[in-house]
Amino acid sequence: LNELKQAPILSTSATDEVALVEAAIRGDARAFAALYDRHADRVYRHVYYRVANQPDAEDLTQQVFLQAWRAIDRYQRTGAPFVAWLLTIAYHVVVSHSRRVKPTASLELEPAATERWADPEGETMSRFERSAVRAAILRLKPDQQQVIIMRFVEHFDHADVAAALGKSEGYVRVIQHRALGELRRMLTHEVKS
Amino acid sequence: MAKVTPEILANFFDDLENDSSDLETYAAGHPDMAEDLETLVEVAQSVAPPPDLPLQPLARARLRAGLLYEMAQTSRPAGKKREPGIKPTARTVMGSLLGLIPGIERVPAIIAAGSIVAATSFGGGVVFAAEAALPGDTLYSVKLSFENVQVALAPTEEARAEAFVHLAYNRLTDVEMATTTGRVSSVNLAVDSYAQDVSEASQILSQETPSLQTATTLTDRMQTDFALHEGAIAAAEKRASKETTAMLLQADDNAHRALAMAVALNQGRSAMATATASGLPSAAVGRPVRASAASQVNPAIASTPKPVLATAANPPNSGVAVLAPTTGASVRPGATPTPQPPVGPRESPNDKRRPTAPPRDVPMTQRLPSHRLRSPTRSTTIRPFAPHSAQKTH
Repeated sequence: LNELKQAPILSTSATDEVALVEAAIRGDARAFAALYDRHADRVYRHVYYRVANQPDAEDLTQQVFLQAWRAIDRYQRTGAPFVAWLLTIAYHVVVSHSRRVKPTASLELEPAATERWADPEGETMSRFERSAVRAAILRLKPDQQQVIIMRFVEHFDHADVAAALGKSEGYVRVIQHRALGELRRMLTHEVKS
Repeated sequence: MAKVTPEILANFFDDLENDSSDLETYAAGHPDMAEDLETLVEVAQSVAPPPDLPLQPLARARLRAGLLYEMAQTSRPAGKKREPGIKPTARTVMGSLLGLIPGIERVPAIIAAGSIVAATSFGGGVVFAAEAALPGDTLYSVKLSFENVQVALAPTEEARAEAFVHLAYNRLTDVEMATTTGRVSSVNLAVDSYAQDVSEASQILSQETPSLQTATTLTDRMQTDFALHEGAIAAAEKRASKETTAMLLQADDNAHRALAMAVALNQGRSAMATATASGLPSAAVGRPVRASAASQVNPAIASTPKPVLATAANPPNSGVAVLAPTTGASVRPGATPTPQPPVGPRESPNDKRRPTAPPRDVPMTQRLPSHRLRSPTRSTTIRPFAPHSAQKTH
């Protein structure tokens, strides 16, 4: 669980981030462009994880930032990182996209070549497990999916997830518990079958 | 086995993240829940982060440009967005402002100069704003009109051809930007304009005035540009509504034909030059096939069956438009085909050109793979992609 211990990676200090967000709320497009520069990769990675399709992930990433720009007046300064708010928008953008687009055979997530394991068997197993777990996550209920991805893929703590979702921490804890239980059930069933 | 509660599970994760506990210690503190806790933690451990996939620099720049453009269109803080995908009114705005008659594709120099004066009088802001316009914007027709001025003011035929090639590139970039920003309903205007630009360029390049080297370079550029952007056109076809798709396919067909003609004409010129150099009489070689620019983009012609290779099943006089086997030039049904000497690269046995016309509802990239457009005798140099509109938005 070492990855769980890692704090969300922010490319700038929180102070800079707050100043940029404040400026963006005042309508400063340059400030918002700076926020794009800092978080585009993170949002793209998040979207890609869910759609596993590069062109769609790029389009949706742009939509996420566009929606964020339009709605930034409604951004609540709850203490949650700005990127957590972006990822919440990303969640809704992807859900909306999934409703519009017929499911197609998507590419499996491929690790970068430099990250591949030297051991081919190990790599194969790792890829299988990763794709199986990812597929299971994407079959969860929307609220469960969102909490699991925010918690264990994006590594936000309970408080940040709650703030980003506009829910209580208790809600996040309950959903997390249910989601992990459901994932366990699905993965166990998959292994048996 | 007792079930672990949400609170205990969350507290365990909190402790773990704070380095204040580990699974063994925690399980020892809750022996009845240990098994349940361990399996849930195992599931959480299996949720691996996605591989490190940063946005490619090109995509990042493109998205940024599109985002900035859309942001500029979005009034804030009211937050009301201008409706995207406004029906394009070709040349209407500039036409009404400057008296340009709809249907005039290229403005003469005097009108072009007048346009500049008139637009300056009306305010340079319009022109400035139009520079970043995309298909679907009211000012897009203004942008097209002013870009045509470049052609009208070109001092030589070579410069005119280059200007057309440049405009064609701009239109492809517009298609890409419009598709990226969800304006697929309006891209057919840009694709149509692209077809016209390519057609005009190919006409000039088929003349004797531009050097063969210039003609070859510019034709290669057109092919490369098209290959770089065909994904965007295919994406637009995929996402557009049925009605728009039909229009887009039509425009796309025109573009396809225009580019194929440009390649064929250039191959014809190359063959003529080769034959002349080797001492063959020009009559033995024949003239490159010419076709008027209008005929290439004329909807009536575009609605005729798509050209196919001349085969035993489709001889040149069978009523089916055929591609001359050596030049790729199209010959209309019923017309006497231009004698086609053995010029240009011969068909390879592995040539994958389809022997029959593909259905019109097939995306363009499937109907015309980019390798078909490349001359097998020349290697094309891929220029770095530099979105024209993107540069303007910065």
